[in-house]
Amino acid sequence: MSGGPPTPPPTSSKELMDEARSSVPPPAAPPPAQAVPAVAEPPSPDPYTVVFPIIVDLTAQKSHDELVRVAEEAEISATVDASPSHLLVTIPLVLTYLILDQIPPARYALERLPPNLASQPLCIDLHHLLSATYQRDYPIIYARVEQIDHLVSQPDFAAPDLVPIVKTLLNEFIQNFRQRTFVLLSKAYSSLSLQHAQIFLGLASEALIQAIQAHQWTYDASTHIVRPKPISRAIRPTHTAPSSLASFDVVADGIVGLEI
Amino acid sequence: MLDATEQAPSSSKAKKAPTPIVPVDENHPFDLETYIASYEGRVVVDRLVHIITLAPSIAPQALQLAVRHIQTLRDPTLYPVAVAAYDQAASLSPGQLPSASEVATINQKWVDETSAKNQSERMKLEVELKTYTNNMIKESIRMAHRDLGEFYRSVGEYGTALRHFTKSREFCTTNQHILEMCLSVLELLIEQRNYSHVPTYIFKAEAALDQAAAGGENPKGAVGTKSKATAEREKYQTKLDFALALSQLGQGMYEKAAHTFLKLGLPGKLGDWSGKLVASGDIAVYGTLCALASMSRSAIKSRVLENETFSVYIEQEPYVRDIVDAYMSNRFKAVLDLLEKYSTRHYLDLYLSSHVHDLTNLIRNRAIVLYFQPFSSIKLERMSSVFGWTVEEVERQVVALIQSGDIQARVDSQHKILKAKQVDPRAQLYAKALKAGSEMQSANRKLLLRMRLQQADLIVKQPKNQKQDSAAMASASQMSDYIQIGD
Amino acid sequence: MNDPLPTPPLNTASAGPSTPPPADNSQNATVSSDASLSLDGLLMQITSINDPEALDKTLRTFAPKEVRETILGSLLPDGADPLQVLDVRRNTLGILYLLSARLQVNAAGAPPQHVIETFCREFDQAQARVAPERVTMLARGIIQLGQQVGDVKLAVKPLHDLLVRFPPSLSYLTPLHGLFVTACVASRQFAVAEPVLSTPITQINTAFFPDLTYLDNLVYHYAGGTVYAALKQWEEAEDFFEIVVGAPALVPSAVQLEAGKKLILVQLIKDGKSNNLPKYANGSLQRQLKNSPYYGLTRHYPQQQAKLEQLVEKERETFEKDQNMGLVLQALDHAPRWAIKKLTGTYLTLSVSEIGKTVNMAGKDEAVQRLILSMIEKEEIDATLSMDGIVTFNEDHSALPMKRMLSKTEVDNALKEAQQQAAILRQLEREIGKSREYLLKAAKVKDNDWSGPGGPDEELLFDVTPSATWADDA
Repeated sequence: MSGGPPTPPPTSSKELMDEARSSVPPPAAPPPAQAVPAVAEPPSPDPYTVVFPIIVDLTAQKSHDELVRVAEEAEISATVDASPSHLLVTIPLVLTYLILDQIPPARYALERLPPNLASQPLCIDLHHLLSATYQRDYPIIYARVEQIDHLVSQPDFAAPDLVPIVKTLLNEFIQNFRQRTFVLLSKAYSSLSLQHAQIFLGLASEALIQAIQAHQWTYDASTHIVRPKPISRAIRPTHTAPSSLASFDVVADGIVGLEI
Repeated sequence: MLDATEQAPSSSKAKKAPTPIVPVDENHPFDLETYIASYEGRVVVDRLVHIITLAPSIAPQALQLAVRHIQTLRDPTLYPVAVAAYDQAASLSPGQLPSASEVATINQKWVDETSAKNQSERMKLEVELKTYTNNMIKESIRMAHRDLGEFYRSVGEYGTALRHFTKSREFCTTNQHILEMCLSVLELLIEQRNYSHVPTYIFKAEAALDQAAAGGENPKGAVGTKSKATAEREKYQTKLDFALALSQLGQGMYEKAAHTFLKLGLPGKLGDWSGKLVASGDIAVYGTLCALASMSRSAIKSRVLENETFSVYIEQEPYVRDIVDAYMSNRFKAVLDLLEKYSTRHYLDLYLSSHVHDLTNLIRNRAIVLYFQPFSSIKLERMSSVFGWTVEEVERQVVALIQSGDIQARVDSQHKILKAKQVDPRAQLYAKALKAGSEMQSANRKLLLRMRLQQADLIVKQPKNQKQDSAAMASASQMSDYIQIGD
Repeated sequence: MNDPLPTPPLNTASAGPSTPPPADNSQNATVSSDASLSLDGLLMQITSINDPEALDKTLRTFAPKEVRETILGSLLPDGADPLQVLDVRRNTLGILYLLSARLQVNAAGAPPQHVIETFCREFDQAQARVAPERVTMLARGIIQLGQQVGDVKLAVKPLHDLLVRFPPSLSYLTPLHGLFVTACVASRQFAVAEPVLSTPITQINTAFFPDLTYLDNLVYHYAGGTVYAALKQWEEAEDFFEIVVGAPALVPSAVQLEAGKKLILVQLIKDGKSNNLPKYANGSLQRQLKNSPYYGLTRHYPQQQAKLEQLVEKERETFEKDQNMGLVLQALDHAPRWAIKKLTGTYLTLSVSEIGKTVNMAGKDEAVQRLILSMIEKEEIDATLSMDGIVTFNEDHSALPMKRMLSKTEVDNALKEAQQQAAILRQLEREIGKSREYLLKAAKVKDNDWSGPGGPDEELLFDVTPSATWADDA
């Protein structure tokens, strides 16, 4: 529908309605973006449980955006909020938002949980992790991740279905976050102490030195100083190219337009 | 027309201007006797009172001079004014000044005689006015108003004086009369430092001059008229320009004031205003400081240094030329030192006083900007020796100038270096164009939507929808404050 | 397509139609003899009339106004639900009437949630478009139902489906837009609103949607701005609030004033200062905002944090009453960022502790450092830190759009886009130039020797209806 100017010329509304009707067929066929399986209907189990296997798949494929979409939609399709199965969707959703570094929607997803679910230790820990990540409170982030990992590793953890997916997503989050931090440090520091680097990257010195070398940073063992590999700062090379005839045409066109 | 009530705020504002204590010592020379000798009439007392308030160290001397001079005038109310200013100065530096009565004695006999004389003079003039009004002799009424204006002015009743002057306007029959009236009012306004109305009367005066030139009062002398009109104009132009310049200075329009001061005619053209209102040395100071504070170096060169007429004024205050010379040869420390040295002279000037602070700041800022211009980077230390400040002071000044956009540079606070910003004009242009483009696009999109809404007549209107509107608001505000802070 | 409607079990979670409260029964009884007869008959007609226009006319006029909705909203005499008899796709128009009436008339028990959901997901668009007002009514009913059972979230999905399927495309403004996004905000389902919000409204068509009012536009964009602000997508939030503020108005609406307040806060967060309102915004609205404490914030932002905090303390009540405290606090929270950003224009290097002093965080070096790192990460500044706590601000590229390099193709693309826009505007201008209203107006302007700034062209661009006379003429 790139409908032309719709209004003024006095046309009867009847005519317009006719036009509207004739323009119906195209969108009618597959209505835009409606992928929720129509099968999940009345007596069947709640949509959280239904959609969970899909979420597991999407996690394995690292399709974060799709996972977010599916999970958000599952939530609005569900009529029972207080069911523990709600967590099957919310927890992966929150972790995926974390991976994408989208803190606000993650926070709302957690806060939408009814009190009986929100008060579960896993939800509380996630809430703290969100806060720490939003504030880039490096030491706390790594500590919280440890804590959550420990929590779900308990043999008596309440939702065993969630354990593998939480571990996968949590691991991916921390990998991504560390990578992000590596990039940031290369940008922000020409050198920093090993101790500082440890705080930022949440690695013990042994592992840190390995990781540093993997990133082609250098480490001076005598001074305990880490030198990040500088990332190329030359970000604006292309615009110095001379203007082309094509862009001249574009400009000329525009000016002619102005003259009218 | 203005009246006394309109004057009140501006004159009280002038009084409110910050009154620093101004030192008079070997570093801040000021010779009161020589200084005051340049003036005559009432302005002498006005200036002395101003000096009493600002410079306690010479207040006793100033009070003596004032008391002595008051007796040459006819306004006994000046006595208490001078004494009150002195008492206030004394109270600000307790124990350091002798009491007013020890310094000067008031000639009570003179007071009584003068008051009586004034009383009878007023009676006489008022009666005259009444008589003329009854006889309806226009010219005589005008003169009666004028005389009353002059009388009230001399006894310090400015509001009444102004009323009579402006009233006389109705009975003016020639342009010459209008001109005369305007000049009287201008004098009054300047004495009162009531600047906002000055341009009005200058405008009226110039209109009268124009009319005189165009009207050709006497067709027979057509050949002579033109030159006569020009001569007439020349006679008044400098006075009018001075009034304008002073009002511009008074209102803080320094650049305009500079231009106007610098085009004044020779001091002689000021006629009776020279001394009665201002000394030609004052004009040298006003014009130069305003020029330094607002003009480019080349303009200063052509408009000040190469200005033969203005150099006549400068001759009256040779130190002014030293300041300009130092400024033009980049000896900024000398400029600042001279400004400091003569700050007393400047603060004690009735018209300049409240602008000294701003003018000095402006001159200093321009000096810093000027100094930095040729450099791409410079150590703050070097600037500190040029301007005679500590490095911290330099940094503070420079940072302020960067933030106000006067200097295109940044401070390397670690190494104490000032570095010019590198600009890539091409990249900037591109970036700017792109930004403008995307802004325009989003603006256009909104505009388009707006036009569609208008075409469909979906316009917020007053009456019947109000209830609905507030209902919608109620539901909208139910979207309570979900927006959280990321704690 | 022709699947029969899945038969609903009568004992679903939501209020079952089979057990309406007794009081309602008695009320039904007053019209029952006639009504149920008619309902029966009506069902016959719904299933037999194939021309939607004709059916619409029937449904619109079949009984006296007073009882029409009651009849449409009632159950069959044997207590059965008429909706069960009908097929969603084949009988869309009929169901639309019955369902919307049922939700509207309190007396009738609400149908089960899945009936509503199925309808919204599968209704026949061509039929529904015959009765757009009933669609709006249905949407309102769905929201009411959600409010009654205390879970607005239930309305989100059906409204979403309605909104996505009903108009020819999402770029047409409908009364459903505002209802849907408002429901999203009320249930904190911000993320689901985003796909809808990201389609800009370009079409206003009162022939398709005769019940469209200016409020639909205001409320939709206001709620949309709220969603974006909640998601901290400031740029989009600014856009939406600006649309509300700049919507054509002879007198400002309360929604516009609220949007203006939020707009100021969003701009402080986003740009560190508040920009002027669009120049076509209503003058009295501009004045009201200028006199509000929100505008007061902009005077001290971002450097004078002590004053800012004082002001917030003093005006706390107002901010809380306006439900804006969250945004106000975020603006305060962002103030040090903008203060640091300003320093980059003045300093090349500065120690962390000096920075702390100037941004009112003296002694909190650790926090300042974290803040600077975060600003580097978000590309708000281009800086490096050294081990001894010296921050070096690299040459100021603030004029450049951060994050992106500036390529020639990008410039060319920008030019092309600008031209397309210009072309649309030109077309619109021509359109208006031909329109009766314009010609009338132009003639009038000439007659009155109108001497305002700019010609009629400019006025059309920025303020087509500055005077009430326009509305009268049209």
